Amino acid sequence: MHQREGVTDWMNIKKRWLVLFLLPATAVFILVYAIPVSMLTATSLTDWIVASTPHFNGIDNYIRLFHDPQFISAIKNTLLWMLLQSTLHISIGVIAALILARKKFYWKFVRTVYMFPNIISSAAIGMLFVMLFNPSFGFVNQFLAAIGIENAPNWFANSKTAFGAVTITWLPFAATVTILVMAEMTSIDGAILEAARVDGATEFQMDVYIVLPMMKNIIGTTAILGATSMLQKLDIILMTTNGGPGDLTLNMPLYVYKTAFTAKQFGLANASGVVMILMGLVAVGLINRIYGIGKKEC
Amino acid sequence: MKLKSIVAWSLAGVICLNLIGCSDGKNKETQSAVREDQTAENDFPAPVELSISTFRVGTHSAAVAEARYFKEFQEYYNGVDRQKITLKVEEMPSDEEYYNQMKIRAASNTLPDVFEGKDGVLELAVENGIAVDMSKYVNADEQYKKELGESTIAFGSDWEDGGLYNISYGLQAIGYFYNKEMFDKAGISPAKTWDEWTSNLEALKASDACKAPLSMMTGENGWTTNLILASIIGTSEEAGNRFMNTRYVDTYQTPEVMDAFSQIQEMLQEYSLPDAVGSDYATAANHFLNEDTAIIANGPWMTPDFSDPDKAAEGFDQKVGVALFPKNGAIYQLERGYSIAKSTKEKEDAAFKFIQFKTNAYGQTIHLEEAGVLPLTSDIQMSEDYKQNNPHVAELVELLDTIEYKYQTIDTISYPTAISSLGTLYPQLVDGSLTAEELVRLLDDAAAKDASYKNE
Repeated sequence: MHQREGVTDWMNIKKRWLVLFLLPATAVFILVYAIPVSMLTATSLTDWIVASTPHFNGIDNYIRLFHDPQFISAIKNTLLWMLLQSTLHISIGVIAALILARKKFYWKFVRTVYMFPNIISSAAIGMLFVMLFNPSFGFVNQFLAAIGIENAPNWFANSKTAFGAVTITWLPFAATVTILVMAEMTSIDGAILEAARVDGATEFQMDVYIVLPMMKNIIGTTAILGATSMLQKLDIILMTTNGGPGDLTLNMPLYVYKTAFTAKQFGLANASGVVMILMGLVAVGLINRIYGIGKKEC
Repeated sequence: MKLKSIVAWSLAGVICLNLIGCSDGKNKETQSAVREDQTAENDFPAPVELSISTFRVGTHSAAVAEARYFKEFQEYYNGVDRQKITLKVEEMPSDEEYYNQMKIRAASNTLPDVFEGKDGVLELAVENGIAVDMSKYVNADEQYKKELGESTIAFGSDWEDGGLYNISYGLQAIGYFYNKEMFDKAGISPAKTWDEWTSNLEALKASDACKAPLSMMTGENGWTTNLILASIIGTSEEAGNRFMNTRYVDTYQTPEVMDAFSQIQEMLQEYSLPDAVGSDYATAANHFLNEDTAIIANGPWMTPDFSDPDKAAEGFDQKVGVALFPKNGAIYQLERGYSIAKSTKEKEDAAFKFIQFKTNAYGQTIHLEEAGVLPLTSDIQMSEDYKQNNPHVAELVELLDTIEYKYQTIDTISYPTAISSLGTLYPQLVDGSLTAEELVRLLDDAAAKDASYKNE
């Protein structure tokens, strides 16, 4: 009985310390996220425009949003980019990780070079691609002309190519995924791979049947990171197409930005911000479910 | 365990006390510095520090003029008239960023002491009652009033209550520059009609004198392209001219505007370089300066570039001519200038002194000499030296006497949402996925999204 009381005391003290240590993070979360998100949600239900006092207008902003063709385009483009980023982008990163993990003579060099686009600022990447795709003096069109393809398009300003041109500025650069997957791969018990090798499994078979299933959690996590990163993409689009031609490359962050800072419709911008947050939450939940992140294999 | 808790709390307490102690020390140091400063300035009224934001920095065409204003103003008010005024300057990377920030600050009553009122900023400040009426200052100084001219005062007082909330710093008069050598090679001279303009473009294209006749661009605010657009509309008889002189137009769906967009579509498709669509001003300017193109629409502030060895080949300035748009049209408007945000009387007085410094006869001369901005009245004469060194500006000023159509820029007459949208619609106009009729309808939709739509 005495021993049991001692254990209970110890648990209480431990709980108190846990609460104490969690307190700063919780306070920061409340101040930086919870309060602003609550304000965002509250003002999304008002007619707030610049230099005015907000008045409650129910769900008018949400009705207006879903009647706005530009908003619908922004949602479609963002969803498509989220899908591409959580599938194709992740696949590229994982394949790169599987190749580099074999640690051939070139692996350190390739890993470092592959990392470059991830350590350069997005604005610089945007400028780089604007130059590369310039129809007058850009490398891409000059190269195409050199191999006999004349009249190549103005990539960022053509309705048929703009979406692809913007996508190419981030889709292949999956070094973060590669690094995370490679780090996780080091935790695989060497004995498992050795046993497979002894049983005559090829490198490809080991990757497909042993390594990839064991990487499920980290791949799911990078898919979440990839998908949600598309809810933050603003600078590159601003620098390359500004959402055009028309609204073919308009995404949610740019829609929010233009609604707030060009149209000065703060209530409407905040409503689209709320929709964006919901999109992020749904994406996280969906990917969690698909990958079963955190669940133990039976 | 208790001991550990006591030690932990004691350490936390010591750290807190140290922090308080440090900050207290700093406060004491600051207070003592202020006291010393006050003692040193004892004989003067309290010094005033003005907060000012500017985007005229770095490679901006008026950066040199701006730096000169700041330097000379602070030198002048460093004790003169027993007054000390210092400037606390905040630099912004672009005018777009500047006006975005000013709009937010106007809404939240945190404007700098002196601010510029374009792009709806002044409207917000006046609506919020935080802009200062400068009539009392201007009326008290007859000489300054004369230097500003009646039209400048009328322009700044164009408000419901007649208050003078803004003082312009210069006249914006814009025609176009052309490469005389290329024109000679193509056997043409500046066009007198828009039909002649088109035939000139065709002649230039056929002559191989240049890579493309026009330096156009649709990125940023589509500046060089929109100047031509404004000119086509502004010279379309009375209706077009009225449209181009209407502040915040109701609709773009008029025959003149649709026709103008059809012409611009052809110019971008047939007579511009492939990178005109989507590129920025710098690219369009470089093409003209590198003699890739024969024509660029722009204001006199571009003229220093013609003789800048970093930007153009030696002797390029000799090849450049200046002309009014066909039908003797030109952009002709006063620039929306400086305003004062409400504050203490001392600050407001000092802010006016700064605005006066920038816009009096001397200030206008600096603007002309350093940035190519034309003065507010013809009373400010160009010196012979200046004329000799800046023949293009002098020629443009002479041409202004022959203007038949005066009009404003598209930016001035449009809601910001429409201008922002135009930049993304031009590419579709050029690749053929949008007609001029569809474009003007979409511009109307974009204008209607502006928070101030029809509230002006």
